[in-house]
Amino acid sequence: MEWYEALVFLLGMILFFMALGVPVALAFLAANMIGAAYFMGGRGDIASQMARGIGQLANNAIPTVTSFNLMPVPMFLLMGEIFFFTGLANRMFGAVDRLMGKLPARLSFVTVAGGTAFATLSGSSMGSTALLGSLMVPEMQKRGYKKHMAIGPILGTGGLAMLIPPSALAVLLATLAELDIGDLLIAGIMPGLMLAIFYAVMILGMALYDPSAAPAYEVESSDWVEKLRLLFVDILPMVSIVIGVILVIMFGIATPSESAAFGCLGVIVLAALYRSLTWEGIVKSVAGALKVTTMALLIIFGSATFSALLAFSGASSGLIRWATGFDLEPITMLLIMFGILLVLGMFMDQLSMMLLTVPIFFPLAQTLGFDLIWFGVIVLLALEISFTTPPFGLLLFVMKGVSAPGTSMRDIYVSALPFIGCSMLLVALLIIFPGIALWLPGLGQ
Amino acid sequence: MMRLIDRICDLLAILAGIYLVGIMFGIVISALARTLNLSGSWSSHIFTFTEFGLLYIVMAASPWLVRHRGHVFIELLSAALPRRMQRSYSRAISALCVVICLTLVWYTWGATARAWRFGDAEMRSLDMPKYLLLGAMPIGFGLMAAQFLRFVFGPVTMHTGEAGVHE
Amino acid sequence: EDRVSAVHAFPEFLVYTKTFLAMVADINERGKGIVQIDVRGGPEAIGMFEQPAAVRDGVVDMVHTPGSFYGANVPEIDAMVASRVTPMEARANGGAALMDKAHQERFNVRHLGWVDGGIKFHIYMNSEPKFRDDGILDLTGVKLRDNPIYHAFFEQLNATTASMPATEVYSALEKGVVDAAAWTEIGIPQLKWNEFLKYRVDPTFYNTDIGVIFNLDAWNALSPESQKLIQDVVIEWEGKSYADRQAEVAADAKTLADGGMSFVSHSAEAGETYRKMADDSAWARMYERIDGGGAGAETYMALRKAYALAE
Ligand code: NA
Ligand code: NA
Repeated sequence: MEWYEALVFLLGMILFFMALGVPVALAFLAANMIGAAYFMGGRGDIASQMARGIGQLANNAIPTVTSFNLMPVPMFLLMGEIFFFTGLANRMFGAVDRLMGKLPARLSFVTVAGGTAFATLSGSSMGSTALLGSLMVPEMQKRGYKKHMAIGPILGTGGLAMLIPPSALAVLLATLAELDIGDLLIAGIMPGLMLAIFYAVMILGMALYDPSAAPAYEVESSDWVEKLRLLFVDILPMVSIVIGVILVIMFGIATPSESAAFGCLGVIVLAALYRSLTWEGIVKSVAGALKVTTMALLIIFGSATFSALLAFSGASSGLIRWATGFDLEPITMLLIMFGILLVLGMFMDQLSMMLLTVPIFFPLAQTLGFDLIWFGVIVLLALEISFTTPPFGLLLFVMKGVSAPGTSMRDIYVSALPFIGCSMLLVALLIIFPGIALWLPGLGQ
Repeated sequence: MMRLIDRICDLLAILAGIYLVGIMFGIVISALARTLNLSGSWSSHIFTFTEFGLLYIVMAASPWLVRHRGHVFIELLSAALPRRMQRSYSRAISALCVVICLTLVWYTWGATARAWRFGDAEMRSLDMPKYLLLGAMPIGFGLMAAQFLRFVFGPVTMHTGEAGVHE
Repeated sequence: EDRVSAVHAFPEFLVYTKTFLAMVADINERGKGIVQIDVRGGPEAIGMFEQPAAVRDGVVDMVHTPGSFYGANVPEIDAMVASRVTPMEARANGGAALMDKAHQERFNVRHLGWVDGGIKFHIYMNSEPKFRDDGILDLTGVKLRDNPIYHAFFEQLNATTASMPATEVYSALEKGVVDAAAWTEIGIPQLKWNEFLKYRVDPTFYNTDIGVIFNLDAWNALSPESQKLIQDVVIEWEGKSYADRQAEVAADAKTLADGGMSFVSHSAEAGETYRKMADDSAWARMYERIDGGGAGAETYMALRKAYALAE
């Protein structure tokens, strides 16, 4: 099979099963079984090919699913659910409401600010989305925010986690591409903060354009004594958990992946101090976290082998070599590489994408005369966007899992689009003004 | 019979929930032990079993999640069909899910048996026999198949067919 | 013309993979009309720890992988880990043939050769190493990144071991979650761990055990010319890659020294004890796995004779 036939065959199967209405995880597994029997079946008759290929699928799932790198997902989910079901979240956002007064769409801004703060401590986009999603979405829907005002900012800021250090993915990219790790991490800071500002500006725009999207409900005004009380009793203790988690990382007590468990425990202790820790609340929190964890991990189970099949069959490397084989202007080549990352990103996980594209893209970028750190930031942005591109973006499914019933996949796809637009705008700005990425690392030299 | 299977699935989900909470404490304990220079083989084993836990949790809780329709799917064709055909269509897709799960049961069982025969091990802080990991798959997918059967024959269907791209 | 499918365990940027790809190119060049090897990819195509079982089961024909990845299946691998001889010496003294035999019997694959041999391990630390009264390294209070391969050795040095994914080691060293790690003589500058690790403990211990394994059924289906060509080229590369890596060992040592890393050495006598402690822990693991006191006694003694320090 030629690479383009393999590509059409594999992508066609997954889209077919998903369109039928088979659960996403099973759609992947069904496509994988057929693909694995065909490509990984080795020699022999069809029965032995099925046994070999599908057996390989089962074996492939073990290292993918049992990886500590995934730990932030269940832990941050649990943390967010406990925050919510113990009523601590309600308390905190009630206080935020009263402190921020009449600012429209204030909880969306809180999401961006919280998401950005969170990105600085978490290296995991999925973990960050899981926490913010399970924490903010129920509160915002309760207060009458339209779905896209809640979902969009969370999806957007989830991606910040891999741009702003610490970022496991940035370290990995720098290692694979033989870049200076410190430089790439630092280069991500300014673009990450700019992206957060873009998000804020866009939310303001959306709130002004459609005021009903973020209802301007009345809040009791309060005097400064009351405001101080709110700040110290209802907000600072909650914020201290986040600060505590950052400190646990800073002082080398825990790695970023481990820190989520500390946050979880911190919330439980805090809830106990506020006397709002109930057995019912704990059971509901664990059940909620379990649901989304299981859903997301089963999709990862299926998609890992799908990525492997795209690689093993030669479909993805064929696409990459074909598209980068043209002799065009540097800027066109850059856009082609960016486009390939977006296309692969619809169906592949980030790690597999890096392993496939880095050995081809970075030498090519060097011959084209690009600054490799700058190029690395653009690749990170493409990877970040790919987390939220339909049909297969893991953050979208995590979001679906934490949203209220009645939130459709289309709601989530539509909510993600403006924020993908912000990332695209940033890429354009990076191309015009490379200093956005290169100024900070340049200072250190 | 279905009642018994439901109880088994509930029990597995409860165990998965307990494991999840256990992971949280396990991570905190082993990180603190490392900071205080108290860690050793035992804390490496905790690390290993938090990792393995992710597979056990997903396999144990998936059947329960099927019953609660918690696995994300996209309603495209099911919503485009005329109303009177929607229920039978949804039942047919659920039957397809049963077939997918049963196929997985068959071949993951085969992989488990092969791992057992060759003595394959997942070598982390300890040599974990691979059949103990792979073996979770035929059980999990088997119970999932049983739960999908409910949407083939039971009163409730999996898809709602209500909004364009739904659930 | 025979067609062979292959995968490699490591990403393409690592020197080991470069060796393998160059070796494959060599085979394909000399094998025109006889045999052609089609490399299907690295860990993105089949997970790195799943590749050994994949070649055994016939998903692919040939895999380039460290033996430790399937050490539970072929415990004899530890002879290479604890080896005091070069790959070429092990081939001359019959060790390589024993290794191949064990692979065929236990794992349904042929072990064609031990490539990129001669690379050993160091412990690297961010603080000055301390030594016990008997002159052996004392890791009391030192948090060391754990690895199943050397865990038993680290315990004897009284280290606080900590497990974490390789992707987290860089930030763990940065934040002091761990203070030390063991790694090969080459590769530290690429990983940038020398930003935080300032001391290297000498001497080295253990060896890399990267080999080329080939599904036995697929091997038997090859023409005799193909078999001979592939086997000959792999043996040539055993020697060639050994020499190439020695040059890199020297180059990386210079990079580290120029970057300010101090090399702290045991005394000659304590250093030999230190190496032997490491070796003994690997031999003990093999002894236990193959029942070296009973059914595996003959194999165990033969491997010791071929690979271990002459006693
Ligand atoms: Na981050
Ligand atoms: Na995507």
